[in-house]
Amino acid sequence: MENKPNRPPNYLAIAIISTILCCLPAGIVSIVYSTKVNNEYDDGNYDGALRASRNAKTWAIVSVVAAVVVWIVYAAIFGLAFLGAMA
Amino acid sequence: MTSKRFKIFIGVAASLLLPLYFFIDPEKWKIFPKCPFLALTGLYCPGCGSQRAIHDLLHLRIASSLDHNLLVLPSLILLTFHAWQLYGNRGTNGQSQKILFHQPKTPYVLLIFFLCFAVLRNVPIEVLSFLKPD
Repeated sequence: MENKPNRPPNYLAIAIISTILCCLPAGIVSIVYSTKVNNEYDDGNYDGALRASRNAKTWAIVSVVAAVVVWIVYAAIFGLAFLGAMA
Repeated sequence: MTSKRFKIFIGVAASLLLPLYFFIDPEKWKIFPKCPFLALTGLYCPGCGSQRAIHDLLHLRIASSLDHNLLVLPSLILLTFHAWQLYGNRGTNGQSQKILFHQPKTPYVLLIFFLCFAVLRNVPIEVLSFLKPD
Protein backbone atom coordinates (compact mmCIF):
# COMPACT_ATOMS: atom_id res chain seq x y z
CA MET A 1 0.00 0.00 0.00
CA GLU A 2 1.41 3.35 -1.00
CA ASN A 3 2.03 5.96 1.61
CA LYS A 4 -0.94 8.30 1.41
CA PRO A 5 -1.06 11.47 3.44
CA ASN A 6 -3.95 11.82 5.85
CA ARG A 7 -7.25 13.02 4.45
CA PRO A 8 -7.41 16.74 5.22
CA PRO A 9 -10.35 17.92 7.33
CA ASN A 10 -13.28 19.26 5.31
CA TYR A 11 -14.52 21.63 8.05
CA LEU A 12 -18.09 20.76 7.20
CA ALA A 13 -19.34 21.26 10.73
CA ILE A 14 -18.08 24.81 11.09
CA ALA A 15 -19.25 25.50 7.51
CA ILE A 16 -22.78 24.52 8.52
CA ILE A 17 -22.60 26.62 11.67
CA SER A 18 -21.44 29.65 9.72
CA THR A 19 -24.08 29.17 7.02
CA ILE A 20 -27.04 28.73 9.26
CA LEU A 21 -26.12 30.95 12.19
CA CYS A 22 -24.17 33.80 10.71
CA CYS A 23 -26.67 35.08 8.20
CA LEU A 24 -23.99 35.45 5.56
CA PRO A 25 -23.59 33.67 2.22
CA ALA A 26 -19.85 33.15 2.89
CA GLY A 27 -20.81 29.93 4.64
CA ILE A 28 -22.04 28.52 1.31
CA VAL A 29 -18.59 29.14 -0.21
CA SER A 30 -17.14 27.20 2.67
CA ILE A 31 -19.41 24.22 1.97
CA VAL A 32 -18.41 24.33 -1.71
CA TYR A 33 -14.74 23.99 -0.73
CA SER A 34 -15.77 21.31 1.71
CA THR A 35 -17.09 19.20 -1.18
CA LYS A 36 -13.82 19.72 -3.04
CA VAL A 37 -11.65 18.31 -0.27
CA ASN A 38 -12.78 14.72 -0.69
CA ASN A 39 -12.97 15.03 -4.48
CA GLU A 40 -9.37 16.12 -4.82
CA TYR A 41 -8.20 13.63 -2.24
CA ASP A 42 -9.90 10.69 -3.95
CA ASP A 43 -8.43 11.82 -7.29
CA GLY A 44 -5.00 11.58 -5.68
CA ASN A 45 -4.49 15.33 -5.77
CA TYR A 46 -3.35 15.73 -2.17
CA ASP A 47 -2.10 19.29 -2.58
CA GLY A 48 -5.43 20.32 -4.06
CA ALA A 49 -7.27 18.63 -1.22
CA LEU A 50 -5.16 20.49 1.31
CA ARG A 51 -5.78 23.79 -0.47
CA ALA A 52 -9.53 23.17 -0.57
CA SER A 53 -9.39 22.27 3.10
CA ARG A 54 -7.64 25.54 3.95
CA ASN A 55 -10.13 27.51 1.84
CA ALA A 56 -13.08 25.84 3.53
CA LYS A 57 -11.61 26.82 6.89
CA THR A 58 -10.83 30.38 5.80
CA TRP A 59 -14.32 31.06 4.42
CA ALA A 60 -16.02 29.60 7.47
CA ILE A 61 -13.89 31.83 9.68
CA VAL A 62 -14.58 34.85 7.45
CA SER A 63 -18.28 34.23 7.88
CA VAL A 64 -18.07 33.76 11.64
CA VAL A 65 -15.81 36.77 12.19
CA ALA A 66 -17.97 38.99 9.98
CA ALA A 67 -21.05 37.95 11.92
CA VAL A 68 -19.33 38.58 15.26
CA VAL A 69 -18.15 42.03 14.13
CA VAL A 70 -21.60 43.03 12.87
CA TRP A 71 -23.10 41.69 16.06
CA ILE A 72 -20.76 43.69 18.29
CA VAL A 73 -21.22 46.89 16.30
CA TYR A 74 -25.00 46.52 16.53
CA ALA A 75 -24.96 45.72 20.21
CA ALA A 76 -22.70 48.71 20.86
CA ILE A 77 -24.85 51.16 18.90
CA PHE A 78 -28.17 50.02 20.29
CA GLY A 79 -26.77 49.39 23.74
CA LEU A 80 -25.59 53.00 23.92
CA ALA A 81 -28.89 54.26 22.55
CA PHE A 82 -30.73 52.18 25.13
CA LEU A 83 -28.56 53.46 27.98
CA GLY A 84 -29.01 56.99 26.64
CA ALA A 85 -32.79 56.59 26.71
CA MET A 86 -32.65 55.28 30.28
CA ALA A 87 -30.54 58.17 31.56
CA MET B 1 -7.28 26.53 14.50
CA THR B 2 -6.74 23.49 16.63
CA SER B 3 -9.73 21.47 17.57
CA LYS B 4 -9.20 22.33 21.22
CA ARG B 5 -9.23 26.07 20.69
CA PHE B 6 -12.32 25.62 18.52
CA LYS B 7 -14.10 23.78 21.34
CA ILE B 8 -13.20 26.52 23.80
CA PHE B 9 -14.47 29.17 21.36
CA ILE B 10 -17.77 27.33 20.90
CA GLY B 11 -18.10 26.87 24.65
CA VAL B 12 -17.49 30.53 25.43
CA ALA B 13 -19.75 31.74 22.62
CA ALA B 14 -22.56 29.41 23.66
CA SER B 15 -22.40 30.32 27.34
CA LEU B 16 -22.49 34.03 26.48
CA LEU B 17 -25.13 33.94 23.77
CA LEU B 18 -27.58 31.28 24.93
CA PRO B 19 -28.80 33.21 28.01
CA LEU B 20 -29.04 36.33 25.86
CA TYR B 21 -31.13 34.57 23.23
CA PHE B 22 -33.25 32.99 25.92
CA PHE B 23 -34.17 36.18 27.70
CA ILE B 24 -34.35 38.61 24.84
CA ASP B 25 -36.80 38.17 22.01
CA PRO B 26 -35.07 39.22 18.76
CA GLU B 27 -38.50 40.03 17.36
CA LYS B 28 -39.14 42.80 19.87
CA TRP B 29 -35.64 44.00 20.59
CA LYS B 30 -33.89 45.73 17.78
CA ILE B 31 -30.46 45.33 19.33
CA PHE B 32 -30.17 42.08 17.42
CA PRO B 33 -28.47 42.73 14.12
CA LYS B 34 -30.32 42.47 10.89
CA CYS B 35 -28.22 40.69 8.30
CA PRO B 36 -26.14 43.11 6.21
CA PHE B 37 -26.72 40.85 3.20
CA LEU B 38 -30.48 41.20 3.61
CA ALA B 39 -30.17 44.95 4.12
CA LEU B 40 -28.09 45.29 0.96
CA THR B 41 -29.89 42.93 -1.38
CA GLY B 42 -33.32 42.35 0.12
CA LEU B 43 -32.74 38.62 -0.32
CA TYR B 44 -33.01 35.96 2.38
CA CYS B 45 -29.95 33.77 2.76
CA PRO B 46 -30.06 30.36 4.47
CA GLY B 47 -29.27 31.88 7.86
CA CYS B 48 -32.15 34.34 7.85
CA GLY B 49 -34.45 33.94 10.82
CA SER B 50 -31.98 31.81 12.76
CA GLN B 51 -31.80 34.23 15.69
CA ARG B 52 -35.56 34.10 16.13
CA ALA B 53 -35.49 30.35 15.55
CA ILE B 54 -32.96 29.91 18.36
CA HIS B 55 -35.02 32.06 20.69
CA ASP B 56 -38.03 29.87 19.90
CA LEU B 57 -36.03 26.70 20.43
CA LEU B 58 -34.81 27.86 23.84
CA HIS B 59 -38.46 28.31 24.77
CA LEU B 60 -39.30 24.91 23.27
CA ARG B 61 -41.53 26.40 20.60
CA ILE B 62 -40.57 23.90 17.93
CA ALA B 63 -43.19 24.84 15.34
CA SER B 64 -42.40 28.52 15.60
CA SER B 65 -38.69 27.79 15.31
CA LEU B 66 -39.19 25.78 12.13
CA ASP B 67 -41.36 28.57 10.81
CA HIS B 68 -38.62 31.17 11.31
CA ASN B 69 -35.90 29.00 9.88
CA LEU B 70 -36.64 25.47 8.75
CA LEU B 71 -33.03 24.34 8.91
CA VAL B 72 -31.85 25.51 12.33
CA LEU B 73 -33.26 22.59 14.32
CA PRO B 74 -32.24 19.90 11.77
CA SER B 75 -28.75 21.45 11.57
CA LEU B 76 -28.35 21.42 15.33
CA ILE B 77 -29.46 17.79 15.46
CA LEU B 78 -26.98 16.96 12.69
CA LEU B 79 -24.15 18.78 14.47
CA THR B 80 -24.95 17.01 17.72
CA PHE B 81 -24.85 13.70 15.87
CA HIS B 82 -21.47 14.70 14.38
CA ALA B 83 -20.06 15.59 17.80
CA TRP B 84 -21.30 12.26 19.11
CA GLN B 85 -19.66 10.40 16.21
CA LEU B 86 -16.40 12.30 16.71
CA TYR B 87 -16.47 11.35 20.36
CA GLY B 88 -17.14 7.72 19.47
CA ASN B 89 -14.21 7.70 17.04
CA ARG B 90 -11.74 9.66 19.12
CA GLY B 91 -8.23 8.35 18.75
CA THR B 92 -8.64 7.71 15.01
CA ASN B 93 -7.41 11.24 14.29
CA GLY B 94 -10.60 12.02 12.35
CA GLN B 95 -9.61 9.56 9.63
CA SER B 96 -12.38 7.07 10.27
CA GLN B 97 -14.64 6.68 7.26
CA LYS B 98 -17.54 5.81 9.53
CA ILE B 99 -17.94 9.49 10.38
CA LEU B 100 -20.84 10.84 8.34
CA PHE B 101 -19.35 14.31 7.82
CA HIS B 102 -16.13 12.82 6.44
CA GLN B 103 -17.83 10.81 3.74
CA PRO B 104 -17.43 12.24 0.25
CA LYS B 105 -21.14 12.62 -0.50
CA THR B 106 -22.16 14.41 2.68
CA PRO B 107 -20.94 17.93 1.76
CA TYR B 108 -22.64 17.59 -1.65
CA VAL B 109 -25.99 16.61 -0.22
CA LEU B 110 -25.84 19.44 2.30
CA LEU B 111 -24.71 21.95 -0.33
CA ILE B 112 -27.64 21.05 -2.58
CA PHE B 113 -29.96 21.26 0.41
CA PHE B 114 -28.73 24.71 1.45
CA LEU B 115 -28.72 26.08 -2.08
CA CYS B 116 -32.29 24.88 -2.77
CA PHE B 117 -33.33 26.37 0.56
CA ALA B 118 -31.64 29.68 -0.29
CA VAL B 119 -33.32 29.90 -3.68
CA LEU B 120 -36.77 28.59 -2.78
CA ARG B 121 -37.25 30.83 0.22
CA ASN B 122 -36.87 33.84 -2.05
CA VAL B 123 -39.52 32.63 -4.49
CA PRO B 124 -42.66 34.67 -3.85
CA ILE B 125 -45.20 31.85 -4.07
CA GLU B 126 -47.75 31.20 -1.37
CA VAL B 127 -46.97 27.45 -1.28
CA LEU B 128 -43.35 28.21 -0.39
CA SER B 129 -44.08 30.81 2.25
CA PHE B 130 -43.27 28.32 5.03
CA LEU B 131 -39.62 28.68 4.02
CA LYS B 132 -39.59 32.43 4.62
CA PRO B 133 -38.17 33.73 7.88
CA ASP B 134 -41.37 35.48 9.00
